[in-house]
Amino acid sequence: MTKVRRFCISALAAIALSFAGLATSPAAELGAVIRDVQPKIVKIYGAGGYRGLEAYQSGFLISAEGHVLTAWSYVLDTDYITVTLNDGRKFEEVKLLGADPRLELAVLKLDATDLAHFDLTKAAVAEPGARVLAFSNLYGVAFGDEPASVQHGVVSTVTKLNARRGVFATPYEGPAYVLDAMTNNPGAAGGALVDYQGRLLGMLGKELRHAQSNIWLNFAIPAAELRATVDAIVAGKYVRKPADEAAAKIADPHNLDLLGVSLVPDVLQRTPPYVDAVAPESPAAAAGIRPDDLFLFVNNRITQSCEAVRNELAAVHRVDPVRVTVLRGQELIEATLTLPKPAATSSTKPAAGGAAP
Amino acid sequence: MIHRLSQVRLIVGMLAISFVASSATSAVAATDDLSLREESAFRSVVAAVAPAVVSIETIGGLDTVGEMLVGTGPSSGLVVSADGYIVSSTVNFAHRPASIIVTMAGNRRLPAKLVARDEVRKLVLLKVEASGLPIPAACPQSEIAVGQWSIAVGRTFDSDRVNSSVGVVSAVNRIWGKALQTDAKISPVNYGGPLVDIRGRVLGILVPLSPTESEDESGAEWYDSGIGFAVPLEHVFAVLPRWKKGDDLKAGFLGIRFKGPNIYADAPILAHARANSPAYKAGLRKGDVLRKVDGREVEIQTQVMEAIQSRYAGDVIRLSASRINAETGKLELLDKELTLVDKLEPYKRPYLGFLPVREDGTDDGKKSVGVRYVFEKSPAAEAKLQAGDRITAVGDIAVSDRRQLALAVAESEPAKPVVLHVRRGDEKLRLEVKPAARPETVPEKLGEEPKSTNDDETAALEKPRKLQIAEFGNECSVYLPRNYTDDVAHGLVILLHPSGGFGAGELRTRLEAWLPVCRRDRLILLVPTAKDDEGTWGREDLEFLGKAVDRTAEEYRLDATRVVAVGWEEGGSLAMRAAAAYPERIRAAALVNAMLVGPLPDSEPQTPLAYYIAVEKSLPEAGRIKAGLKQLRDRDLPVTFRELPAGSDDLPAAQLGELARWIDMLDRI
Repeated sequence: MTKVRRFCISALAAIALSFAGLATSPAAELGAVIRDVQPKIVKIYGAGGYRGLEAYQSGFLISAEGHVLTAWSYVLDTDYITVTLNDGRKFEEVKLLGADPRLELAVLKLDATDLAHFDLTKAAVAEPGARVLAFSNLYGVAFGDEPASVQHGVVSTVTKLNARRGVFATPYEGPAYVLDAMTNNPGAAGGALVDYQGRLLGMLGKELRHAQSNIWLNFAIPAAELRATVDAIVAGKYVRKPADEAAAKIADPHNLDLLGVSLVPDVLQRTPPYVDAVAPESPAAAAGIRPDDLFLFVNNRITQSCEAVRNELAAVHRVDPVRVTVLRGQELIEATLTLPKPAATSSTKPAAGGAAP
Repeated sequence: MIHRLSQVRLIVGMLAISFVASSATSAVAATDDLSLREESAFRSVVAAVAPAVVSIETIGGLDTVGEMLVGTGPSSGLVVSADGYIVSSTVNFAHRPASIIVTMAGNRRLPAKLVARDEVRKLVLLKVEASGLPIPAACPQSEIAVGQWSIAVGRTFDSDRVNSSVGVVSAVNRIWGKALQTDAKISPVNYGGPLVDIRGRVLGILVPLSPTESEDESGAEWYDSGIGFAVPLEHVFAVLPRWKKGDDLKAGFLGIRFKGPNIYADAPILAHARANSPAYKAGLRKGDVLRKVDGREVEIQTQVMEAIQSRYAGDVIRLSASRINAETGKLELLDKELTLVDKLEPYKRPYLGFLPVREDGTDDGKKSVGVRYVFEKSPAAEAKLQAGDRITAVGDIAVSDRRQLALAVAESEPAKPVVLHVRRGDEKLRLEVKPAARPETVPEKLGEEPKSTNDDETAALEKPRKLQIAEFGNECSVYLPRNYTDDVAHGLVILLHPSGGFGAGELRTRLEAWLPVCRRDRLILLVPTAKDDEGTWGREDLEFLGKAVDRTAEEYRLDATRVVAVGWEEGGSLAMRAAAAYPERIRAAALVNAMLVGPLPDSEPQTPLAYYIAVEKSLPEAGRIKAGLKQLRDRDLPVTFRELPAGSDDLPAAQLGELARWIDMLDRI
């Protein structure tokens, strides 16, 4: 430890001089930040409490008049939502102003004034590597006027959770802060993520598991992503969008037959997608795809199995070109497959056929 | 490398300056500048190492490895040579993918080949066709201190951006000296990526490791737990030239086992040097005390184990040992170079082909062991050993009882004739017997042991006694043959029921068949039942069997060479497990219509295991069972195999007679 600290201090000694005026005890500084944030955190109680579903979660105040931002979940699916402030004040039958299942957020309203709160318009943005504090009532460990739990960590990365199809089962599509603090715990959802200066960065997300590696993910949704919807809910102008809009199926997708590709027989769950045959004069043949090519990417998404190739094609409109990357020997080959445009006359053909008097 | 280091310093400096502007004001107060400077240092070292961190994706492969569902997400790797060698964790390749695609910093994709694995440290070496790649600097292991910052870096969420986690070094020299430990969050999002110090030097490659298990996926259950491991990059660079040749780096073995249960406190005294092993060939023997490993003094077993476990097969290790010469009483020192091997040749038990007289309690005062029966056409028969001969010594070792005789033969030099010193009447003979492989057949007739005088075959069956062991809930009956006497050491037969227990009347049928055999051949019969209400055998039942043998040995006079577990179906599988778990107590397993189960024990001089396997030939599993026999034979574990007529759920009378003779010859030499 000492060795490292010494290095750190000596390497940066020159720059540190410029901060000389600000220097105070580190613990006191961070303590002040935490004392400033704690009054803005609330404990929320609602539905649940059986079959491993906890009946509590976290939230934070976003207005002096008692607007509380929290995660949308089954906990709020009741008329009896209870909110406890940091000072122990308890509000029962709290009103749910609105919720957005896509962002997984909800806004509650307490009857109160002059509350300490975060100002969403002054939220900060964190870069990967930034040190952060997470405030939440994880595991419901705090009761009454006990303050929420504080965890520290860094922003591991900022990423889109569903950049890879089917990896994370979340309706949220925007960027997320991935954290190296263990916030993925019962009751933590809806908690606040702040930087080391106490500025709001985002809201802790719900428990989420990586579908491919089976690991739990710790993440928060950046405040900037939430703001417009929260403002709309607070203003009473929020119109709920159909949650499954994004997942709507494409009516006329591509498929392997249309493109003229047949893959090797799909015998395993992860049969590598090798090309078995290419139909002559097909879009695949035109793009130079050959038997024994291995499909690696379809529209830049990795295809780890025959099934994955089919799934990716099913997400592309027939009218759109399909970009593929195949492995031939040890060479990566890019190709674009396009279906021929239906001939302009094709739609009139049946009519012509039936025109004979 | 020097060039890169100075680059890191430059970045640290620049970032530190840049937040003079950004952190001047804040809602509360700027937190202490030390923590902000640390934060900027974290970011700068991540940025500095990022060009060497790659994302790895795989196509095809197995769905599960062991009991774990294999992740298919991307994993990370670290460039270790400018011409395209990349190191990653084996956990990402446990499923044997068909193809590997590496995405370099800057989103360049390249196909990769798996060059070789490091089975000890759970790493893989990949190769892409590239040049001029950035190589990170390694932090010397000697400079790594517990408590220093360690930043884990991966490239898995987006290929154009790395992800990081910050922690400290929790320990060095973990997992037998193979890895350092960190409390940064280590998981599939950064396995294969680097752990970096605050100066941007790489401490190690992140891998899941387990101190007790060695499968590819072992240790992955500890992800994000505050315990993560990294194999020092310095080590990787050191083995890289050898690794590049494409040979897997495998664990190395010496073939020694230590005395005493406490590896952290007990001295490294050899309990066993396996025949044919490097240790054995170097002249190390049971009882030797290891003094030095590679010139470093060792006092406890773990020090030796650490030295061995961190090496690879093919590495040379220097051992110094001491022993008291049994004849001269003088201290002898041994100093040898041993080459670790990747696989210990299984021990081959020398077989001579005779049965000793079980003369416990009838020792006539002359130190020797009688020959009861010589197998036809056996090496002993060829050397003209005869029933009635008395063996006084094996080579230089005088033998006064059956156990000593068996061990002396078992530990004799492999592939050399065994010299038996024999008394025949007044004659003294020296017989050279050339050992052979043990035959698996059972002769029609063996020479008679003195049989029981009590032969009331028509009388009722013996009444069982209860055997209870306090910490186990198992029911267990002991059938003591009515001619039992403490004057004669008895063998032990444990009958293990199929799942669900013996059917109605089934137990009686078995007892009626076995008890006369027990009276004749001097065997005690033990009939335990599974603790589980549904009669399914489990882990605790296995332990119970071990304890039950001990308890029987305490209460009755037991012949340890003839303890056999006989089981039907799942009971047979349990019998096999029991022999593997307690080879010192349960010397043989007889399986009737049972699947073969692992783990398979090693053949050891002290514990001559044997298997009798009978399978009804129309059984759907018969093919698989037959295929498994080879694995037993490959380990020098003799198997007597019998195919039963269709429809048999038990041994026909003739087979039971053969099984009884097989039990009677378990103490063959």
